[in-house]
Amino acid sequence: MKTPQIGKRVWILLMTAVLVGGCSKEEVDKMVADVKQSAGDLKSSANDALAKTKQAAQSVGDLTGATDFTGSAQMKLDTATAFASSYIRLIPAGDGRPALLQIKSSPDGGPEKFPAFLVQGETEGQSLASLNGKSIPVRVFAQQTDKGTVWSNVNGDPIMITIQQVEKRFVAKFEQGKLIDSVNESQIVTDGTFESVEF
Amino acid sequence: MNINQRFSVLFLSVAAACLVAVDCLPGQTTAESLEVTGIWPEAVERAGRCKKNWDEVSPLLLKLEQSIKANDPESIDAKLLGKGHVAVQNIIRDAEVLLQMGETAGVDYMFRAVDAKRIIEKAIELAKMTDAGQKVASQATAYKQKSDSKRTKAIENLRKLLSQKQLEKAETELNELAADIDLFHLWLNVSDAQFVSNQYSQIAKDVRFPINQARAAKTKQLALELIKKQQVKISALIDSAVAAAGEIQSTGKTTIDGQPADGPAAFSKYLKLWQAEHQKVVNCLGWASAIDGQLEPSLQNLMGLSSVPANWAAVDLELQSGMAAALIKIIAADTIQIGAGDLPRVYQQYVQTLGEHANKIGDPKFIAACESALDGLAKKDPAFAARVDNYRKATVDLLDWRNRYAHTAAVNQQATYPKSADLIGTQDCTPELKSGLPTVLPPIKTKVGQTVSATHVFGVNATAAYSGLEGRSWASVKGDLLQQSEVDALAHDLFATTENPPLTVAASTAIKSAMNREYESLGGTVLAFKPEGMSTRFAKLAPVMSGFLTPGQPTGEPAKRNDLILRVDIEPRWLQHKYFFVKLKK
Repeated sequence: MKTPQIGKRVWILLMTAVLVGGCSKEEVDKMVADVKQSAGDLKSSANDALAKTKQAAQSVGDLTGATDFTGSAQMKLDTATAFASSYIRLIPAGDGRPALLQIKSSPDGGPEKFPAFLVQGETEGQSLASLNGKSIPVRVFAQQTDKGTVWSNVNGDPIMITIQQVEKRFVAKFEQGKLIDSVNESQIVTDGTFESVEF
Repeated sequence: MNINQRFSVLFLSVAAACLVAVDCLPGQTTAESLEVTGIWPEAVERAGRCKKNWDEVSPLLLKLEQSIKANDPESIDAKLLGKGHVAVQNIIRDAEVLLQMGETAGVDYMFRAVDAKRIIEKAIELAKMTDAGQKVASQATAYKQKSDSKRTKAIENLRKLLSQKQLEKAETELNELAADIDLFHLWLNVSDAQFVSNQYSQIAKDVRFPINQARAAKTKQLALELIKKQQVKISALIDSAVAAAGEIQSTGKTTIDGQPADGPAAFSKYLKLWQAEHQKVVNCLGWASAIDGQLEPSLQNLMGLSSVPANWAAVDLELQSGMAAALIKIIAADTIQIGAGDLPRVYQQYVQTLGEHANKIGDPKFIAACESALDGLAKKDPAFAARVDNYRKATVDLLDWRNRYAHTAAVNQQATYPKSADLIGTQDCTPELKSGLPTVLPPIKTKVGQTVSATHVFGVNATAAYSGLEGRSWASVKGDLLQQSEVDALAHDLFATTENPPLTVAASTAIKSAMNREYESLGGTVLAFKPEGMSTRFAKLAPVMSGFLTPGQPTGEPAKRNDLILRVDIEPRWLQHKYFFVKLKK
């Protein structure tokens, strides 16, 4: 195996946690984050880091019975871009505001890791499950590196995203979405897939 | 060093700089002149006279300069030189008075006139080699002899006025005598010229020294009166805001201008008073700069400072820290006493007020502390706190990403739109009066038409906007910077309507700042540069420009009399709001 170091770390972390009395979902999440950080530190290339992260997360998933804690996403920007994680939630309606579907690459309050993205759109759905098979107009933002160019669809030109629930994951896809590059102002017509876990 | 000594040193240093700057000839005329601070109302008239004399004499100076460069004495009209010399000397005399009045315009005209005097002297030297020049020189010698007794009599009269302490009358008559001498003096041979100088110099000294001294003392007195009139009372304002917080905590109300006021009303009022007081401090800094005013005890007492701050920045920081703490106390006091029924309304009023003022206050720590205090307020009603939390979740990421988009777009533009401070900050372009404006401005004016950017832009109304001071420059923009479609899109993205205003300070500030035409930066083409005395700009800063200097930004030391600020008139090409970026159509 090419990633024994990561696997060993996860084993040690998790076995320690189990031996001292089990661990909560939050604790496992933290460990996953720690492992991902280690992966990022160990490898210089973003793709290698992504591969490590996915493997580490998979190891945790195997142990806990879950399939994936972080999700993943791909979008064609100026190059094909893979995102290490993808989180999804429905923020309930309130104060005259409709419910909001939100998919993003980092959980609340966590440090932003790059490549990063945000997909967000209003919906009438009451739960994520109720969005299965639906199309929703969204704003999309994506950035490959900190301080790099930002891609986004312009005001008033939403991208239609479709949602499919696959077991505990939600797969959101769009095709032929128009994104503008903040630096060069060039437009790309592109597609994206977000295999997301609820958070 | 007392104030008279300071004026003397300044005058001498200006004169010395002129003597050193051998190549410092005007080179070209200029219509530019500095606005006066006006500590003395009559400074306006003096500066106007300097400008009139300069405008009259500068075409002659240009011709003379060409003749000197071409070493062509025959092209010099000898008959014009005497009157030209009188005009230049009149400028010197008025400029000296303007210096005593604390005016940067005095520095400018002194430099110009001393340079101009050297041109006239050189031209007369050359003209003496011509027949026409010899004729004028003979007339000057004849006039000198004819008028010796007249001068002796005038000097006797001046002595009499001095003994009667009629200083102003003596100065007026001395100036008349001087103007008469200026007409012919430079044409005389060395011994005759020395004779007249000896006649004149002692009485000139005897008249000018006491009146200059009195004028400098009066300038200080007038500046202190202006500072006193501003009624900056930092400690009193802070104490009053703290007392209001105390009253709100016990009764839910305080009194402002005789009217009962609840927490949000008091918060809004004291936030505005803070900004008004800050602007008054900047005005006072301007007047104090005009009299080289360090924070002497008299100034400290006038400004109601609780302690002895080291410098002017410390004065403003005392105001800032005191008011920030007091305003947070008002929110905390309201949190203690508020009933559940009033909480959402009160919370939203605080959020709206902060959104309106956050950028002009320009103090991120204060805003963060307010947000934290408002979180505490919201938490008194868990259901409302959950609404706020949901609203934050729904908007915080979007704002962050909008900011990234706008920021990266602007950074890319800034590569070809240097900051105005960088554009004019090069050695040959420093906005400082090391010589007169006709010499200082040309290298700066070569930058007209270039692209430039400015930061911290505030709209005044639908016709004008300005930027905060950065280095030695600030931007002025004509036209309406409102981007209504962006305001609408932002409001839509933030779910903001009249019935449901934003529930976070960040969202409220986003919309209010877009409506108020507040931008992080803008880029455009330089239309013109307008020089201003730094002390004049500070002293005359209008309340409408309260974002010109953010709290704590005033420099520690008063401006020097020769410090300039450049107003850069910009035709904007793009705007960077914190949450959107717009390229403007021509």
